[in-house]
Amino acid sequence: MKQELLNQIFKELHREAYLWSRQCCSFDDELAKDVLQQVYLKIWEEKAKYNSESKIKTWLFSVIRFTALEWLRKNQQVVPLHADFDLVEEERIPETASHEDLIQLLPERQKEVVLLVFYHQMTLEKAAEVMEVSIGTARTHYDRGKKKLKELILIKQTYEATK
Amino acid sequence: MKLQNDINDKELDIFFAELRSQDNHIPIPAFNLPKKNATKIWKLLPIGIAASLLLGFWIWNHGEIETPLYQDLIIISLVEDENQEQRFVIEQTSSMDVWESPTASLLDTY
Repeated sequence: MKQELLNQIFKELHREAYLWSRQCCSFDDELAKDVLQQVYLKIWEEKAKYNSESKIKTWLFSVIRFTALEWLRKNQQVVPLHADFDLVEEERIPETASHEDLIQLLPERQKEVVLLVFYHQMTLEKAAEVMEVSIGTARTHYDRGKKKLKELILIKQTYEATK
Repeated sequence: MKLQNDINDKELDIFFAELRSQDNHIPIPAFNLPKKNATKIWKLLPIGIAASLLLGFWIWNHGEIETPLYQDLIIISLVEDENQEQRFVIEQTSSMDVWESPTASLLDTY
């Protein structure tokens, strides 16, 4: 693909790429900027190459996710849990929890898949591609994530109703 | 796009629609493409060309230096021809590169 065309596509995807980067960085704006800049640098230095096998958005999101995880592992010594543990204790949801806070309460994989499908309007297949998991695994996380998030929303709504 | 059988996701749709609307207020950083660095080969190319030119110029001008003599020199050599007869060869020159007397070795040997 010609470089100019690729630049144009990245420019069009920039907003969505930034928002995804932010979501991958626990909604930290500054970190999201750094991660996205690193992603662009990787692409320009051809450390990350687009091979036309997937949609460019899927590929870009995958590079962002990988770079964010890499950064977190390197700088914060955080190793994400890939197992299907549900570590959230619903009783501890703060009353003032924002939408972002509720999403943050989901296990990492569940958070990623619900954001990709509901927020970024991706198919489950594409979400699985971004997350580098099988469609079956993605579907499991998707079902659990939806269920968990619905519960969290319900708890928050109950708090608000009893105010 | 969600699966067709997801009919009970209304509250999630509303939740994410609200989140998207909140995100509309987030300032998006400017799209700055990193400047593509030229590879080292391209950086070294002009230096290589300049070095080649200098080398060529030096070779062109750096012929064998002939040292002018303060006066013409006559070189008398004793050579043996194909009939194994010895004869003198007398040469005259005004410059020379390296000249060694054919009898110089006698000075060391005897």
